[in-house]
Amino acid sequence: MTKAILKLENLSKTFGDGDTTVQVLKNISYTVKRGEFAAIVGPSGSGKSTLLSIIGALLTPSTGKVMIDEEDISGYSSTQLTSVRLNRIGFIFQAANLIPYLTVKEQLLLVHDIGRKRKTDTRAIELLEHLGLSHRLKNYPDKLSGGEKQRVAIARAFMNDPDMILADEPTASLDSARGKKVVEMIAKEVKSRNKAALMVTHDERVLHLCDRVLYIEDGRIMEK
Amino acid sequence: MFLAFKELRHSKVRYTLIALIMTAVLFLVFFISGLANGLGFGDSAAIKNLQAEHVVVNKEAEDAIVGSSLSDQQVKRIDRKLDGEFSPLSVTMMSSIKKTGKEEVDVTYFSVDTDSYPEMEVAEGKNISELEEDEVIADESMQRDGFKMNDVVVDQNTGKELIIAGFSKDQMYSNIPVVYTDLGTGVHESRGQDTTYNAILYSGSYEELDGFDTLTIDEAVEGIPGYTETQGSLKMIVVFLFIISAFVSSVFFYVITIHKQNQLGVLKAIGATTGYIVKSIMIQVSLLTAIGLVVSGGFVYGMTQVIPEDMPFRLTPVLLAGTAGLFLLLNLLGALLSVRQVAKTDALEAIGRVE
Repeated sequence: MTKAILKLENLSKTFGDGDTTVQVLKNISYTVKRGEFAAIVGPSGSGKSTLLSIIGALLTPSTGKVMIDEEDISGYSSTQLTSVRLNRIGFIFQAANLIPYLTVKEQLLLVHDIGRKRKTDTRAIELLEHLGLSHRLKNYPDKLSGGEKQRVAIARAFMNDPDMILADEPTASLDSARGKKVVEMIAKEVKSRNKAALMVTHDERVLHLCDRVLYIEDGRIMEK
Repeated sequence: MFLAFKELRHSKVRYTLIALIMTAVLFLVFFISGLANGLGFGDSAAIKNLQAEHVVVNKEAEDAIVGSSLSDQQVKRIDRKLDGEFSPLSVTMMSSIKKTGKEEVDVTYFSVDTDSYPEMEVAEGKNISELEEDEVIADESMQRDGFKMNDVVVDQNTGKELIIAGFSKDQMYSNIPVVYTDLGTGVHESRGQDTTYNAILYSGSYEELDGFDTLTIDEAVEGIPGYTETQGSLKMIVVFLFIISAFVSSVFFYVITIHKQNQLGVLKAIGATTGYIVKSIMIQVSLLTAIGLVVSGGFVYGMTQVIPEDMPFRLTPVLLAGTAGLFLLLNLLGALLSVRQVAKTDALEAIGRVE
């Protein structure tokens, strides 16, 4: 329970734009442990999405370290980052971002296909049942409600048995009741499967479901 | 494989339409290739199948056998310079033969020296060396006009009676069947001129002859009046069809790829490599092209069963396979445009955006 899954050490990110450079993240250090569900909130332009992109192995930091399960990924090449995303991280995006031509079950099997693993139905069905979607296995995304789509996205994020779940405003396209339900489900899955999770959100109403809340402003992080 | 097939299955209409366009263009490509080949064949088969390596014509002929004329004296002069066997050739066009009770049929006579001209490919009956006086070997295609072995026919120019002693394979000139006969038959003397020949045929090393041109068989084919012009324009049509079809399929896949940019970002964010996505596109391109090839191949085959037999259409397996291979290659090359787009797609597209 005490082992740190995610550890950030003196993380900074600067974007160069010709002569002017913008420092988006300033000297961030932070740790998330297994079984912990943390939220990051902050006004737009505060660097939330950049932080999530760096933790999610989509961007590399300018300076500092990103340790996922004691592996420093800050200097990785893009191929290595792709493999980190595939094997260690589960993403939940703002809009569910499901592939329109795959059925609910196939959305999950796709993760195994990309990872060149044998496609086994059992794990996909177990995950979907757990999220209350067993009657939707053969439906395409256009037949699902917003909440259902986001639940499929949650199941997809857990499919590759990642160390860490990253959620990018998962409630943005949902009404408050559905949004709360979705965050509850993320919390439940994180606890029952003993993963670490980090959620970027605007939505103050779901913060009570998180173990810790971090505020980010002007690229600096503070805990409340 | 997974993505490629699921997508094809889901967007049936879209991909059926593109497969239909490919089928239609391919059908046209096959058809015109077959026509070009058939016309070229009918025009030149008899020259291609001359049993010799070189053809000697006079300078004024500009490589056209029918435009050349050699006198007896010239033939003797050439004979002295060449080692081994050679045969003069006399081509008599605008001739026709008639069998009692049947209609006239246009033919072209190829008169050779049957003692020295090598054996040729015959479908039935006698070969060159076995020909006796007034016996001829006609092209197999004349069987369709009702000519049979041992038929007695009359040459309409000279009134001579000839006997069909054999049928040859693939002997057409200017899309008219060729009849092989011995120079002694005299059908080439119809116009009352001195004994003249069109060319000397021989095999062996290339000889530079003063005052004459020595052609290879390929050069002699190119020299047939109108041959390169016909083939050139048909080939141009085929080349353009290839380019158009490659463009249509490239642009189709390019637009679809741009359309899917957001999805591709998501795929990359959840760990798909560019290679994984590219493989899926390549499988789709290959599959649709293959379907187009099979369906249009089927149509072309069906069409060859219904078109009249004397229509100059000829699609050999080699031509069919070559066309198909080139078509697939061009489509895959065109797909590289989409590959570039996939490689440029950033996984970051997936973050921080609402659909």
